[in-house]
Amino acid sequence: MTRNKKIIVYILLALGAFIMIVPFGWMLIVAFTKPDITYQMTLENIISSLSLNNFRTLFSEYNMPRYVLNSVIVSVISTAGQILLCAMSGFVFARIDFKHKEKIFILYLATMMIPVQATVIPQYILINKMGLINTYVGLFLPGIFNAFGTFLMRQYFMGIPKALEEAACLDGAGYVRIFFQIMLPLAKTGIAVLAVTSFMGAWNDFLWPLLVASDEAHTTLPLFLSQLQGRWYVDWSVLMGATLISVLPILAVYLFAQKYFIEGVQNTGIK
Amino acid sequence: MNKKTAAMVLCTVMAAGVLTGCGGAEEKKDGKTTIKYATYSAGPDHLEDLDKMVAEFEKQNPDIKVETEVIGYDDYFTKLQTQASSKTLPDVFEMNYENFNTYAGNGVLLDLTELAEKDEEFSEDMLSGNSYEYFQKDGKLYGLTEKMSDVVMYYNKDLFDEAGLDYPTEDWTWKEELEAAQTLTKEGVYGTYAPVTYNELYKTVVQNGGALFDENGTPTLGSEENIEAFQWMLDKMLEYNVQPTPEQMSGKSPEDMFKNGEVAMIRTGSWMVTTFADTPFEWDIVQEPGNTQKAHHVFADAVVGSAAAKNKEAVWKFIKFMSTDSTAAEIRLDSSWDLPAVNDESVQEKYTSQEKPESREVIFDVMETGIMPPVVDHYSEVQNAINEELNRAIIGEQSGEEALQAAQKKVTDILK
Amino acid sequence: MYKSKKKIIFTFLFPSLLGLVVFKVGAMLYSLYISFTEWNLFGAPEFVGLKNYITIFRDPRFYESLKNTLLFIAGYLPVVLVLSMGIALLLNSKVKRVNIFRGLFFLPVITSWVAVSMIWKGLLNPEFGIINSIIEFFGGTGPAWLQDPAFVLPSVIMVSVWKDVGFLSIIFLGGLQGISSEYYEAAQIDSASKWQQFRKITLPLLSPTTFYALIITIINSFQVFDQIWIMTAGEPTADLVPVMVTEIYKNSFQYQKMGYATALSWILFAIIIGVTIFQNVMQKKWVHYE
Repeated sequence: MTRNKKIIVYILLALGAFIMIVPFGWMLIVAFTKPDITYQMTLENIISSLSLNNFRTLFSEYNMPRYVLNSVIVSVISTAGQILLCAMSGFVFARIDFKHKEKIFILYLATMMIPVQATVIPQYILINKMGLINTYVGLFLPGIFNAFGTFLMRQYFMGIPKALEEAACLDGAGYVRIFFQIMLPLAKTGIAVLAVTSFMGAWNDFLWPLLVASDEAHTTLPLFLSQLQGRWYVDWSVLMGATLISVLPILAVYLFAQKYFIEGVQNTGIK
Repeated sequence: MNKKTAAMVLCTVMAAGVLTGCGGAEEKKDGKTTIKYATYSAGPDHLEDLDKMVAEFEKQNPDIKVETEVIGYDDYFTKLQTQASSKTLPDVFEMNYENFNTYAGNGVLLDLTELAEKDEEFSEDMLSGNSYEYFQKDGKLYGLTEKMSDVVMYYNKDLFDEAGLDYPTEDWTWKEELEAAQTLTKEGVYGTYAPVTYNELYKTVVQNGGALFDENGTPTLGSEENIEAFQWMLDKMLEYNVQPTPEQMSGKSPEDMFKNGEVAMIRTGSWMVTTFADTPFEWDIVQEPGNTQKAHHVFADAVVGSAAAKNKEAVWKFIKFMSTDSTAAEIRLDSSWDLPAVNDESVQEKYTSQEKPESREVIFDVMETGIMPPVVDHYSEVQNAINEELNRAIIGEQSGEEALQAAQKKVTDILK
Repeated sequence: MYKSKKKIIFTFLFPSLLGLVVFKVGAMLYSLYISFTEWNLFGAPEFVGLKNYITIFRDPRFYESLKNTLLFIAGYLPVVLVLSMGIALLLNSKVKRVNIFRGLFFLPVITSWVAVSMIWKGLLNPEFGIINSIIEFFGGTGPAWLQDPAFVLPSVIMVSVWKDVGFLSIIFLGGLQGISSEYYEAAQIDSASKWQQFRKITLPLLSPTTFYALIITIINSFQVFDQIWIMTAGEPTADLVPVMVTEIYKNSFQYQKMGYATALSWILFAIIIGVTIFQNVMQKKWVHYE
């Protein structure tokens, strides 16, 4: 790349990055300072009122570790389940032709098109009948069946040239082997994207855990954040402290997964 | 981390999740009855107080165990609705005056009348004032008032001193408020603040001798007194600008502005006394100025029971405890968790003897001219419809008079 | 190619399909039933036939919320797709430490709406906000972004684009990574220009990803809710710019008119599925699978 082009790219990236960071920066500042300077942020104010008080409060007055644990359990299981189920079903839609395939795929898409407010109560009634209210299973189970993920994996699989599979079939390999040893590795980027999006979705989900969790032992972080917004008054610094903590795991997942975004050139291996 | 380790971690987490999840709920443990209690007022500041109250209750009633659930106020009724629709309401739960009508009217609340009559240790006058009547419907008792709160006017003494003004007194009317506010308003400071919303409106019109609804619940929004009152609310902002417009507030809450010394007088709740405790300036409270008469907001929260609760005795005992027990009342007062409804003068004394603010007795005084929220069907829809028209007036799309007349039409339609 | 089709379908597709049917399709059908009833969430639903739908089609508020939803999509969709594709291209370039930038672009995605709305309300403040200050610097007058109903949608579009662009650019980045560099090498040998490479190699080979991004963005933006709800909370414009889902939310949990709310949901559903099927048919014209 020419030097000029590189400079332009840098400038654009830097500008964009700056715009992206500002609210996050505000969040950081509010989380690490005392509430009295929230609306009067000059550099002196900030430096003079740096404190870890908010975090101390979160861990002493509130049961923060438990909420984090609950969110982790639910999100990890949900993400793992989604990756498995969506990869498998996406593979079928990408490679197998069968009667009513188009219609079933539209059915998948259709489940994404109804606003959640319409389906949440019937879903709640069902989970209640299954006796799964206020359980981890009740929290993660409905979210595992997610058409967005299937759709995504289908697109990735469809973009993979068929040559490799054809060769493997000729060699007598069964479909399970082909799936796990050829298709999944080639779709690493897709899986990484799916992992990030489904983790984020499960982690930030609010309405469903609100209805399903009914004690502290099952409360997830978004519920706790909502509780921190008092009926009459909001303590921003504690709220931002909690928000910051809730953001870190997503960041971690993203940083971990992003290696797979740069898996470099997809070598088709046909050569 | 390599694949194998990752897989093992995953399996362990999943196993842990499933195993913990299969615990399930047990109703009777060691012969104890368990009841479930949902609350919106305990979080985020009063979780410990709630635990103390529950501990005291369990001490007095060793055969009952209480499981609590704390939900944020904004989401509380969403959850409650869903539970009502699938008949899974908690055994006991908090209810506020505005929503009581709907829940009582739809038969999901436990009728407490007989339980109250049969209980020899309970009598009506254990509750102060009229609070026993608040949560009755069609002559039946459905809940006991647990606590009350009201709205008063707070003022920044330092700002008044700087401007050379006398402090507000209980004889003030809107006229005096406006004059003072005009003197107080300067660069970076606004003289006064009151919300311009339905909730504020229903009280403000009464201060001018009007009313939003008549005794039968018919809307009377477009009356002259109402229009005058609403115009006054608008004028403070738009005409005299002694009150900041939403733009001028730039997303800050009025309470935050008061704390920052940007607003000299503010009408807000008695619950703010603790939040304002550590301001760097001196402040006090006073009765709200009325116009032709005085009126103040009074809010009441009750504990109610679910009609489907299994152990009705336990439910009644808990409701009675939260409302009339003296230890519970003490815990409430000590942490300024609103005012207990219990009829006990020592309560008032204890409360007013606390230091800040000087005029603490105002919080009790205003109850005499207190009004409750209007009881009306389709409360939420009505409130939204009125707020919409008020908002249009705030941004200048219509006049105050037009707003109230448009609101009158909409509300009449809704209540048809 | 694959011989044991039935086995594959049974083991790979069936679990996902079953779960979907049980948890999602079942709930959807139940909500469809409710749309033909009146139900205040207490007691039992009462059958009323088409009454809800007729009321909706006579309600001017419905048309207003539909109009606002479409306006939102018209402003949001092209901008967010083009920007995220552009950013993905930038992030794909072999520039040093591009990793850091990738992470930074993703930050708005994971920042909570509470924090986002606080800051953006400040930025958009007509008197003190930076945005209007910049406009005034160039001699114009900035509008009252969140306090003027005419500017609420542009404000919400701006903030939504800002928040979502990092997420979509990851999707595009994933797609870009999947394009073998052999193609570009061959094109360079043939001395094709960058722009030609973009048009003839990148765009077509990226099209499956673009199709995905387009469809999910359409589906999501028809259901826009959080950003409007949170950004206008506490502003005088709070109820003045309705979109489809704000009305669904209000009617279901606030007004306890579940039948009306589900009927609205199904009308929205019909619109979305119509648009999606249309896109699905059109994809044959521009989406290129190997």
